[in-house]
Amino acid sequence: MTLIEVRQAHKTYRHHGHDVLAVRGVDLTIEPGETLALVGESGCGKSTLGRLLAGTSRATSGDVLLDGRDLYSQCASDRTARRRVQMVFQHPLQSLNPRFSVESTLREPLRLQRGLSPQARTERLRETMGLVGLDAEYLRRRPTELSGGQQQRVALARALMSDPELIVLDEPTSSLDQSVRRRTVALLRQVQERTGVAYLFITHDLATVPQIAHRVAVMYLGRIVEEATPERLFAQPAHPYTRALIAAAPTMTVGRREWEVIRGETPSASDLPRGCAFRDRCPMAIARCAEEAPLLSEELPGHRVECHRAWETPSSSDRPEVMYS
Amino acid sequence: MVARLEIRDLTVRSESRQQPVLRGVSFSVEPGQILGLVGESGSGKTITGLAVMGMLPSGFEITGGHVSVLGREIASAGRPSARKAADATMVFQNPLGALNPTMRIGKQLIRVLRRNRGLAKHDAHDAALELLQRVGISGAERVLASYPHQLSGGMTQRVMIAVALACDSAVIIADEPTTALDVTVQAQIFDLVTRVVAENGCSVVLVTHDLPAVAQLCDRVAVLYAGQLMEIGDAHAVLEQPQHPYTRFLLDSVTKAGDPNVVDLGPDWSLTGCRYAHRCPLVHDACLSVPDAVPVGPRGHVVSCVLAEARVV
Repeated sequence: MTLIEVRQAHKTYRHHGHDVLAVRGVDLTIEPGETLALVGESGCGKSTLGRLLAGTSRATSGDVLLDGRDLYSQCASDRTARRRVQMVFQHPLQSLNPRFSVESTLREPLRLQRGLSPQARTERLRETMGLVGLDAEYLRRRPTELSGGQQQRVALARALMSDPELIVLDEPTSSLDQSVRRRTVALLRQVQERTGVAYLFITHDLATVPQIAHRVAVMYLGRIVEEATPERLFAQPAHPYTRALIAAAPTMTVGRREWEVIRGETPSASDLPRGCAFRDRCPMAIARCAEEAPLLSEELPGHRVECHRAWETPSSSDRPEVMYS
Repeated sequence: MVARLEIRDLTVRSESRQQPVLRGVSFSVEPGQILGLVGESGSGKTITGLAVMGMLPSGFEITGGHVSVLGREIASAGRPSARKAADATMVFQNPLGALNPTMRIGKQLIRVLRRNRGLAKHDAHDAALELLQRVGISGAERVLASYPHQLSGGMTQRVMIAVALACDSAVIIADEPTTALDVTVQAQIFDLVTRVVAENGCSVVLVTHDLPAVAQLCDRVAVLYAGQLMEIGDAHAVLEQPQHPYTRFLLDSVTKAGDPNVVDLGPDWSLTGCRYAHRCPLVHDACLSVPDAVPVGPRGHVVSCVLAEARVV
């Protein structure tokens, strides 16, 4: 049974007298034990969508359902429901209480769980520390006495103390050094294998996606523009934006290369172009893109794309300065 | 040929540590070259850049070695910085922090141009417009009239590069210039940097922890760990045939899956010998002494490791 179902979710903020359309009609599902990677650039709405799925923010319209029932109202009314979805943030030092030892940090979520004996609580603490690979010697330390990688392990352990079914990971590895990043991703996978927890893995770093995700959704200006397995997405990206993201990312092939893959920057979510939101930057835009917004369609099983010219290869009539790898 | 930027045996100490935070770092950058200075956080990359700029934070001082630009010494132990804007400028990770938030872009840029090129106000305005166009800003008049906070991150970073060009600096130190930017905008900035270097022939030091960016942007690579230069050479040599165990570790961390059961060790600043000894899989007794820099290949491929010494002997 599907764990999380999102149907036509919208989230609009009011900012300086403008409506900011952060999420504009998103459909997605997460199955138990699955990792969905949510990829996009700053301002695309991925963190807003993450907060909707963590139950900390309510959709302006549309549904976010946990086991078929509204997630936000479940979280608001029922502490045990809140336990089922947890969150880990990009900067562990900012999300951990600096005055709490690791032990106090990890015991805090247990206060929401009634009927646990003191022995069971201590046992749970020991188990979770083992799960995230931290020795008991760390229990008495405070966050500032830990390295970035260790802090992120503590943040993950705190989320796991509630025995959640979904953890929303918002850029959990972005502030870490590359070697620590790899180890943290491997740790996340190991934890998933052992506990069966599902992840929404929010990132702007495409390189980490194949290491962790079962499926990946690419977001641009509040909408999911493409969704597929990582294998398919990297082998046959169908949306021009996905192709640009892949082409723009540096790789380890040593040597000078052409860099500029698309022009401009993401426009403001309070002043969207008519039609397709990507058309101003798109190398393949045609007249139709200005008139009519494309809709997400599933032409191949498990591979959804939202583009009038999906699957087409750019021709010489498209903007010449644009290159694809 | 005189190197644009030459750093010799640069040693920097901080009040808070017994051991130097930079220990005998040497490298040079030729005109038209981009050198990638790589390492993990806390390795001394930024301190190296700040030492060149004469901008070390309080509590840090140069205790040995020197920095020169075009053969002229601009920094050394016990002497105040003699850097001029024409020698070196720095582009920071957070451009908003480097621009004056209360002053329009135009005024800031015109000030730099008047001071460095001695231009009249009107000519400086035209020069500022031309510079902004050169760094790929289309609505240059509008940007000149804007305050820094009104611009996007990519746009501000373009302005910072325009400021560096306005100084006609021989050396540009770019400290993680694209870390805060989106990947498609990062690609645009890398395109600009490549173009500026080709047109101006200036030397660029790109301080970064992003090895793929270095692989595809830089001519040379210098690897720093805990203030010790581990390996330096052409990008092809260092990244395709790494000789230092630490360089190999860094490359593996990009290409191979991590082991979740290894908990990360930070640098050990108390080590008097090789700084990497406590993490090195090949460590042995000889690592208790400071390794010499040993040439291991053509075009200045140099490694600081006792194992490299042994191989040559």
